[in-house]
Amino acid sequence: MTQKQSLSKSEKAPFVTPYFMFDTARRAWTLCVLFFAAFLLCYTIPTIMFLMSGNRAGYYDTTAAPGFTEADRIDAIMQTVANFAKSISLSMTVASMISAVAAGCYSFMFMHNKVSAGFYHSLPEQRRGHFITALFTSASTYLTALLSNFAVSLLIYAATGFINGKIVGALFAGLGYAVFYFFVILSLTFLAGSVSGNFVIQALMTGFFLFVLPVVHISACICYELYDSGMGPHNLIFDYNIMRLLTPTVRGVSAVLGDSDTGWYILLDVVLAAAAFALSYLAYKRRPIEKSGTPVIYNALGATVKYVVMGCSAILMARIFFVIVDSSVWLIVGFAAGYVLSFMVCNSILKRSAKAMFSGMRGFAVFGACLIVVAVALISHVFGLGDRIVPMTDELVVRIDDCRVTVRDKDAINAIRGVISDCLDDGAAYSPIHYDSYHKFASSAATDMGVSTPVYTEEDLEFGVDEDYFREIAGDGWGISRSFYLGADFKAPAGVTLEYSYGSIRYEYAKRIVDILIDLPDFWSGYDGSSGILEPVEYDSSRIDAVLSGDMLIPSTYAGDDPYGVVEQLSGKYIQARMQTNLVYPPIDGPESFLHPAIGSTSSRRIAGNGFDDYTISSYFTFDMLKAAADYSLSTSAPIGCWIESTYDWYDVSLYDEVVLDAEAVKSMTEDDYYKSIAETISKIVVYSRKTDSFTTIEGDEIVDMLPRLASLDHGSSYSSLFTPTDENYSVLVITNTALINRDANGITVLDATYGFVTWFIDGAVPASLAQK
Amino acid sequence: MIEINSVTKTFDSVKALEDVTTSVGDGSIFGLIGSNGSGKSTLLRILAGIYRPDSGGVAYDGRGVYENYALKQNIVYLSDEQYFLPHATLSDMRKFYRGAYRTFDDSRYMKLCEMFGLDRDRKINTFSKGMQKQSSLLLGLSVHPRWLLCDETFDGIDPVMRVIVRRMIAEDVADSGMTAIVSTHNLRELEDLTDHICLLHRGRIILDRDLDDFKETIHKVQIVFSGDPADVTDSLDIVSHTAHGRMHTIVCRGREDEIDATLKNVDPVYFELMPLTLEEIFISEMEGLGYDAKAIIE
Repeated sequence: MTQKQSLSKSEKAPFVTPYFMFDTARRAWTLCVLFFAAFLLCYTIPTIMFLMSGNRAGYYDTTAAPGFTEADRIDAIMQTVANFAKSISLSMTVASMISAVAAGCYSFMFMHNKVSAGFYHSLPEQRRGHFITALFTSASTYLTALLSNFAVSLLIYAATGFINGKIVGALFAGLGYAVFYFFVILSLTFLAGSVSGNFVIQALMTGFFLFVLPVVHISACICYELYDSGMGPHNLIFDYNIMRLLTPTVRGVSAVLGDSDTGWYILLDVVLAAAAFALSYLAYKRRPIEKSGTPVIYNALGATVKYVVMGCSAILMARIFFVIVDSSVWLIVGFAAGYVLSFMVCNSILKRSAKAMFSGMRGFAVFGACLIVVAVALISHVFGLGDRIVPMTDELVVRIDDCRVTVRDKDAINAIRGVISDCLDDGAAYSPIHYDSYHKFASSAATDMGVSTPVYTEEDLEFGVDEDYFREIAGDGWGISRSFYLGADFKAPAGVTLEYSYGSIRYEYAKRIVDILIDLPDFWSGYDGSSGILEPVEYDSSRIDAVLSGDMLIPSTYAGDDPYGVVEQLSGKYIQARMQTNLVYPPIDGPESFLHPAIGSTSSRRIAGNGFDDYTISSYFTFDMLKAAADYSLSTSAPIGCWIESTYDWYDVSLYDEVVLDAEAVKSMTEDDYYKSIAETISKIVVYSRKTDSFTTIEGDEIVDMLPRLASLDHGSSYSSLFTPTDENYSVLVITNTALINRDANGITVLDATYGFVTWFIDGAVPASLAQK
Repeated sequence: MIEINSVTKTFDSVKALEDVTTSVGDGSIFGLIGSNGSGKSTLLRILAGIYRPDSGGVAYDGRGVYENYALKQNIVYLSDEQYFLPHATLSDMRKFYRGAYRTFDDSRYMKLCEMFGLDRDRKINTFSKGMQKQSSLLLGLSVHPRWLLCDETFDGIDPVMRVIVRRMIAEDVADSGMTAIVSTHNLRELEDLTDHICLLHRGRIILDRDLDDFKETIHKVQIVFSGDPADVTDSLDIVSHTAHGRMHTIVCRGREDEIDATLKNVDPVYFELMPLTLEEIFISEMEGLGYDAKAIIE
C-alpha cells in the first residue's frame, strides 16, 4: 500500500545531504588507497630510510674540527635531520599537487557521463550539494592518506629520537604547504571540471590553467627574439621569478624551499584558490547537464583554448625546427607545422572526431593571417617596441670575455651603449638564435680543422705538446676566439634583472668595450671576475687583509638559506676557516687528489651570507701574498687552509681532508723554496710566440725562474684571450706532471689531456732570453 | 498537477522541444509517445529537473522543479538508460536511495525484490538489461513517489513482468494518487495503461488528449451500402475511407450514437460499428492532420 506524499512549501533544502556526501566519499576508498601508496613511497619510506641509516650516527666526528664538541655534533645531526624534513616536504608537496589533479578529476567524473549526470541531477540534491560532496570527497581521500602517512612519520621521528622543535616545525611547515597547495591546485582542477565534459579533457584543461601563462610567456619571449635581432632579455624565458608569478606549481615548490617573498605568493594563491573555487562553483551551478560528455561545456572557452594552443604551438614548433635545422625556411615550416597540427589535434579533441579535424577553416585562416602579420611586423620592427640597446641605468653589469664588471659611471655606461649601437648598426652581432647556430658552425669548423679536446686514459697519457693544437688555441686559427659574447644586466624598475645578450660580437667592438672597462676608475672595485683576464695583477699583499676578512668575497649565488644545513650549522667553526683559507690556496704539500698545483687559480668554496658556492678564481698569489697570508694567520690565530671533500656526500664532513697552511713554515720559507715547491709539479712550460709562430720549451730549473713572471695559472680548458693586457705576443702553456682528474658523464674518472694551463706573462716580465727568441 | 508551459529546449542548433504546452492531472497516467528524437526524453528530463528549458517552464502544483530539493523528494525519474553506482549491489543501491529519499520504504523494497526475483547481493552490472530495468523500477517504486517519470521503462522487460509492472503503477496511481508519466515509442505499451496521450513529433505536440476522448469521438465502421455511399459519407466527418468490393471501412469522428443513427438512416445491407485500437486512432488522427503516421509511431 502506498501513501500520498505531501509537499511542504516551507521545507528548506539541506546544505548538503550528509548520507550522499559521506557515501560518495566512502566509495572513493580506492583513490584514498592510491594516495596512501603514493605518500608512502615519496614521504614515509624515504623518511624511514633516512632515519634508519646506520651511518648517520657516525657523522660529524668530533675530531673533525677543532673546538667541535659532542653537543655540536648532536646539533649538527639534528640540523641535518631538520633539513631532511624540510627537503622531503618538497616531494610531499609535489605529490599533493598531483593528488589534487587526480582527486579533482575523480570527483567530477560523475559529471562526465550523460547517464550518471542525469541520475545524480534527478535526485533530491541541489548542485550546491554535488559541489560540496565533490570537494569533501577530494579533501577527505587526500587528507586521510596524507595525515596517516604524516602521523606514521612523526612517530618514527619520535621513536628514533630525532625530534626537537626545529624538526617538528619543519615537518608541520611542510605539511601546511602540501595541504595548502593541494587545495590551490584542486581549485583549478575543479574549475576545469566545471567547464569540461569528460575526464581526459578535465585533466588537460587543468594543465592548461596551470601552465598556460608560462607557455604564453615563453612564446612571447620567442616572439621577442624574432623582433629583436641582436639583443634582448632572453634570460626571462625561463626566469624562476617570472615562472613563480605565472604558475602556482612553481610557487608551491618555491614556498617549500623557503624562497623570499613566499608570504606574498601565498597570499596570491589564497586569492587564486578562492577565485577558482568561486568561479568553478558558479560555472557548475550554470552548467547545462545536456553538455555532459562534450569536451568543453562553454564554446567560447573551447575556442579560446584552441587558438591559444595553436598560437603557442606554432611559435614553439618554429623555434624547435629552427634550432634543429638552422634555417629560416625551416622556421617557417615549423611555424606552419605547429599551427596546422595543433589545429587538427584541437579540433579532433574538441569535436570528439578525427573527421572534424579541419572544421572551422575560416577561423584557422583568419587567426593564422593575424599571427603572420604580427610576426612579420615584429621582425620588421614595425611596432617600434622596446629598445635594442640596453636602457640607460645607474648600474650596469657587463659580462664579456668571461669576466664580469659592475659599471656605475654614467659616461662609461653611455659609451658602452654607444658601442652596442654601432655594433648592431654594423650588423656585427648575431641574435641569440643565430648565436647558437654560429657556435654550432664554429664548433664544426674547429672539428674540421682537427681541433679537438681528446680524452685519454691513464695509459695513453703523455705529457707532450700537440703544437698544432696549441697554435690553434693560442693563435689566430680558432674562429671562436675572434668573436665575443657580451651580456649586459639591466635592473628593470620592477626589480627583475633583464639580461641583454649580444652574441658573437666582432673583436673590434668587444675590444672597445673592454677598453672602456679597463679605464674605469672603479673598475677594480666593481670587478667580479672569475677566470677572466685581468685580475692577476691586481691582488697584492697590501690588500690581503681585505681579501681574507671577506670584503672581497664574491656575492653568493645563494641569497636565501643555505641548502646544505650542515654548512649553516658548522659556520663559525671550520667552514669559516675554509672561507678564509681558500683564498690563499694552493695547498702546499696538499693531497694529490686536489688535482694540481696552482700558483693562483683555485677552486674554492666560499661562504657568503648563509650560503656558499663553488667558485673558481684565478688569482696570482705572489710569494709576498703568501707571506702576508701567513702573517695574517699568525696574528689572528686563524687557521689558513681548506677542507677538501673527497666524497660527494657533502653532509659527511668526517670524510673531509684538512689541508692547513703551515704559517710558521711559510714564514721561514724563501721565495726560491716557494716556487721550487711548485716547480716540482710542473714538467715543462711551452711558450708560443705569435709573432714568429715558434715554440720554446722551458724545462728543469728554468721553470722556477719563469713562475714569478706568469700572470696566472688556470686549470681546466683555459684559452688565450685576445684581450690579454699584459703581453699579446706570447702565449704560455704550463704542463703539469700530474693529470687533471675529471669525471665524465657516467662518473668514470678520466684523465683529461687539458692538464696544461694557458697563461701569459705579467706585463714587462717577459724574460729577456725569451724575448730575443 | 503538472503544468508544462511553452517549453522550448535547443541543443546547439537542434530544437528538441518547441513551445510545448500541456498539463498532467493528479492521479493520472500520462502517456508520452513519439518516434526517436521526438523530444520525449528531453521533456521528461526537464520534468525531472535535470535540464533547464531555454524558455517556458514546468510547475508541479505551481512550483518549479529545477534545483527544488523538496519537490524532488517526491519525484522519481527512471531513465531509459539505468545508472547504478559502480559495482553496486541492490542492497547498496537501497542504502543510497534511502539516504537520498526520505520516503524510501524498505518493506516495499523487500517485497518488490521478491516479486521480481532479484538477488539483492549480486552486483547489478552482472544483471541482464531487463533485470537492470526491474532494479531501477523497484528502487523507484520503493520511494513512493508522488510523481513517477518513466522513460521507456518497459523496454527490455519480459511480457509477464511488464504486466505486473503496469499493474503496480496503476495500483499506486489508484491508491496513493501517484501521477505517472510514461514515455514510449511503442503505442501498444500505453493502450491499457494511460488516461491521457500526448504525441510529440520533432519537438512539438501534435496530439494531446484524454484517451476516452479519443475513443469516444472516433469510430470505425464496416458497412455494405444498399444505395449510393455518397449519401452517407457527405454527412459524416470521415477521417479515412477504404473500400474492398462492396465492403467499405470508414473511420469517422463523432459520437457513437450519432454515427449509428446516421448510418441506419441509409438502410445499409450490412453495418457494424467497431472500436478502434489506440494505434488505429493515432494513425487515423495523424493522417487526418496530414502526417505520415507510420513514420511517427511504431
